[in-house]
Order: sequence, then structure tokens, then C-alpha cells
Amino acid sequence: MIMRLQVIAILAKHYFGKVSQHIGLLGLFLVGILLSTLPVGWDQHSSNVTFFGFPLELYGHSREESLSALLNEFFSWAWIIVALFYLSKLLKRLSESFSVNEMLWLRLIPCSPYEVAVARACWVIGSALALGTLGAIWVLTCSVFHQVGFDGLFVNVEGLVSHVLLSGGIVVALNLVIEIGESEQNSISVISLLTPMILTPIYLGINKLADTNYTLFFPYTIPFNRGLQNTIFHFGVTALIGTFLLCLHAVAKFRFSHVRVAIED
Amino acid sequence: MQLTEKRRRVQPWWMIFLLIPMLVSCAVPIVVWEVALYLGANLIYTGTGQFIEQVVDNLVDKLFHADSPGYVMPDPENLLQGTYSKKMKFTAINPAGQRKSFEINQPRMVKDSVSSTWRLAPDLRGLVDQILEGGS
Repeated sequence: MIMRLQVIAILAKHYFGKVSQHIGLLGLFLVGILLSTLPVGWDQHSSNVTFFGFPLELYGHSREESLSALLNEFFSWAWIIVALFYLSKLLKRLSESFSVNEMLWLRLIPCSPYEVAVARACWVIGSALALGTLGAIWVLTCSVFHQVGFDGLFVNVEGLVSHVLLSGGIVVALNLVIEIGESEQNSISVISLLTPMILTPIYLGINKLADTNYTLFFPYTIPFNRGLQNTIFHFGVTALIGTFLLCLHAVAKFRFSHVRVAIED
Repeated sequence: MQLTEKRRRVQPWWMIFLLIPMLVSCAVPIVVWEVALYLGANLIYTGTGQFIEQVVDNLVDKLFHADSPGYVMPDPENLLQGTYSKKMKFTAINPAGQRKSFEINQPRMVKDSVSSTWRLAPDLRGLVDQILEGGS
């Protein structure tokens, strides 16, 4: 069994689409950087963060705390916009990529099921990493501009990455386990988009009842996570589970590897 | 006539169960309303909510209350002290006939007893006098 990297690259390129489809994302990134650097200031006299000159009471005890609270809020808004307008499209296309129609078209290229699966996993993980890179650049820019430590600012970037990974993983895993018709693809994508956030109240309930430390490894992701504790653990676990599901889906397709695909000349 | 008679059917008894989802769906607008209220109540505590609040306040002030007189907002812990709601403008004309004016945004106000009238805080009063008289 040979994995042909060339075929995988062609398929992944097909899945990623053109760069022009992601202009909106880059625009959001640039606007976000502009809004979170120049208009944000610190009023020494009243010890308030100012945004376009308007003082905001953010309940921070110091300049660093208040500023990182406001910046985390900006990252959360960006996360919500990305989830609504970018991630939902990605998940829809991901669940459509399992439909018989699309598979038939893809199989006109001499590719095997596991190559398609690996390309799909590469697509989702690559999207997550690309979003993470943009977020990291944003965080570092803010950190350098405002002279604030960046350890408290990476939470939302990690959360967005884990959200993409777990949602994609759920779509892929559901398609692996049960036969899903064309009509259910849309609802599957919506459910998987919301699942990481719905897990948050479930975690809070379990954490109140259970008297163990194992709840630290409960997966969930949610923007506006200011009051929550140990979010960095939970988001990391979420990302790991999502990656695991994506890899599992690719590995499971190896059971078709005895099928020989070759080009006839 | 016979045809229409034939088409009439007795509804099966379990059709009553279809009413349950309809009853549940009646509660959906209420839940949506409660969720909206909850989100709005929490939006106030975010920086974005405060920013929007202040922008809308300023807009309403500029559009509708541009020439209305201001009022004094008393402090909740001390009713004899307060803050004026708008800019207060001070003008003086010196003997040479030159006008001199400046503004203080939301100056502090005090009053001696509950029934007496508001006046400018003593330190601000001194500052105003100093600027208006000293510069002339």
C-alpha cells in the first residue's frame, strides 16, 4: 500500500479552495488588528481602559489585567464571527464531501478512499492551523503594541483552533459510524458547530457534582470565557480529541486499502 | 356527494400526541425572550456593551438634548455632592470688552443642605475665579 502524496496534495488543494475565498477572513484579521491596537488606550488618571476615548470599566485590578480583558473580548468577538461565517461553511463543505455525488466526481481521479480521507483531515487541521497562525500574529502584535504579557491572551486563539478541530472531528466521526443521507448533512454540520459550546454547561454541572480532579480533562470550548478556570487545559483536551477523531477517520479508511486503483494507459 | 362522504375519515386517537410538540412550541418564544434578556444583561458588563452604551448616549444627547439644560446627578453615598450632567460654560468680559470663556466637562457640584441650591465645588470655584480674573 502506497500513499501517493501527489494525489493527496491535489485533493487537499481542491478542498482548500482558492485564496480569494478567504479574503473576508484576512479582512477581519486586519480590521481586528487595527481596532485592538490604535484606539485602545489607558487612562492613568481614572485607571480605566479607553476605547476611542470612551472610558470602560472592566473590573481589572491593574493596567495589564484590564487591557487583557478587553483584548480577550475582541478575540472572542472575532471567534464568534469566524464560527458563524467561516467555520459553518467549512463544516457544511466537509459534510457534503461525504455525499455520493462528490465522491463519484472525486473518484474520476484515480484516488483511493484513504487518500481522500487523509486529504480531508489535512484540510481541517490545516484550516485550524492557519486560523491559529493568524490569531497568534494578532496576539503578538497586541502584546508588543501595548507592552502586555501574552500568556493570558492565547486562550481564545487556542479555543478557536480546538473548536475547528472538534467540530470537524465530530462531522467526520459521525459519517464514519452511521450512514448519513444527503438531507441530514446540513443538520449534522450545525450540530457539530454547536457541540463544543453546549459541552460547557454540561461540564459546569458535572464539575459541581463530581468530587474529583478528572473533570479537568473534560472537553469544551467557548468564547467569552473570562470567569472559567483552567480553560487552557479544557481547550487543549478538546483539540486533542478533535485531532484524534480526524486521524481515526483517516486510519479507518485503510480497511479499503486492498482495492487497487490504477490508471489504465 | 358520495365522493366527499367517502373521503371523510375518523382521526385516529393517537393524533392527540401531535398536540404535545405544538404545546412545547408555544413556549419557544418565551425561552427566546428570556435568552435575549440574559444576553443583554450580560452584554452590559463587557467592554463592547459599555462602548455602545456611551456612543448611543452621546448621540442621543447631541441629537435631542443639545440645548436642554443639564441637571445634577447626586452621588449615591453622599446626597450633598454630585456631578453636573453636561459641560458647564464660563464666560467673562473684561473692561476692554474682550470675551473670555472656557468649559468644564461634568464639573463636581456641592450644596450645603438638602433644600439649598447646587453650586460649584469650592476647589473648582477657586480655579474658575483664578482663570477668569488672573488672565485679564
